[in-house]
Amino acid sequence: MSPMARTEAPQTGGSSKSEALSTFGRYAGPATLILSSLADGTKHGYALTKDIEEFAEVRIAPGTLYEALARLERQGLIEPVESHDRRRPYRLTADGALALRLHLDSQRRVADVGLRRLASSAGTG
Amino acid sequence: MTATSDSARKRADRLLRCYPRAWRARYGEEFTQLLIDDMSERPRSVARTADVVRTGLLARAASAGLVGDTLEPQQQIRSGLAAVGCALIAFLAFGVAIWSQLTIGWQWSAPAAPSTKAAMLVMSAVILVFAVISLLAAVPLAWTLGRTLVQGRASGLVAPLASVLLGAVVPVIGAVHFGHGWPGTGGHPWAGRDVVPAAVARPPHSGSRPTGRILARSRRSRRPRSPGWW
Repeated sequence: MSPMARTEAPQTGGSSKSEALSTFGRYAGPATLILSSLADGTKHGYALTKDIEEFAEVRIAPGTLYEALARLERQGLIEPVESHDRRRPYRLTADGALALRLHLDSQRRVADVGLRRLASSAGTG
Repeated sequence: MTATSDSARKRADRLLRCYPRAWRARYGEEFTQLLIDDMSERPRSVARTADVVRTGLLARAASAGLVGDTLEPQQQIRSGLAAVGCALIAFLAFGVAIWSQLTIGWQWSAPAAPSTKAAMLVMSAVILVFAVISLLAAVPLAWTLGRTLVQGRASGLVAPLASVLLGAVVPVIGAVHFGHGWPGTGGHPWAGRDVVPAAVARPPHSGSRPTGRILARSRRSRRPRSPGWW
């Protein structure tokens, strides 16, 4: 399955998924960055740190990264990939892809409104 | 393995000890590797150490059932009960010991300087406040526990509950023992009457205890108000 195909999440789910989605917002900072990083394929901890640093210009400290990874794994939004290396990669699950999509859509709506209002106030000011 | 990577591994292993055993079993190896990779880029980082210590302590609190949602609800109640119980017992042991020293010292030798009196009053008040806080902390847990017991879902709660109660009984027995001046506390009413052997009623080490010193100093400085068996 290609990474993009994996982000094509199902539109239905059980109670565990809705619980995971409802708690996602509380830890949206590192979680959004991690899920966004995993959206294009599996990555281990250090690769996640470097990728996030590159696209978001934020460096997530190791403890914070694994606190978020453990939470996301518990919520079923990511899962570990079998590895013979000490660096264990993680990948996005279907629920994780859906959670990320919903969260980013919501953020985009807020950003669109904010930018539109800023533009209109700049035009009238 | 180079000396640098060996040193990084040792430092990573030390940092890993901040986390509870179950967490280390699951994430220890990969997390250690991440720390080593991070140290290869940033050899020294106070922020990284602080972050690991903070999240490690949070993971420990979560494994004790005090924060987060990492445990099953039933397990969370059990772990929370055990954690609060241990904290209460530690508080009782130390708090009662300090309080008894204060009150005994006050009884036998009232503080002469106003500053000493004020300090003792403040210390007593602080101990009292800690006692109230610890009781308030136990209220939500006791409520949840009571509800669980009423609902008949108490399986697995009997053993930790019994250990908490037994633990709480220990300082009570100690206080009663001390209050009666029974053997081992530095004096016994029968000591001077040869009913109890002097070595048992007033063991040699008792004079070196803080309480023993207070009483001995008090005996030297004034006639005792009570009891007469000294």
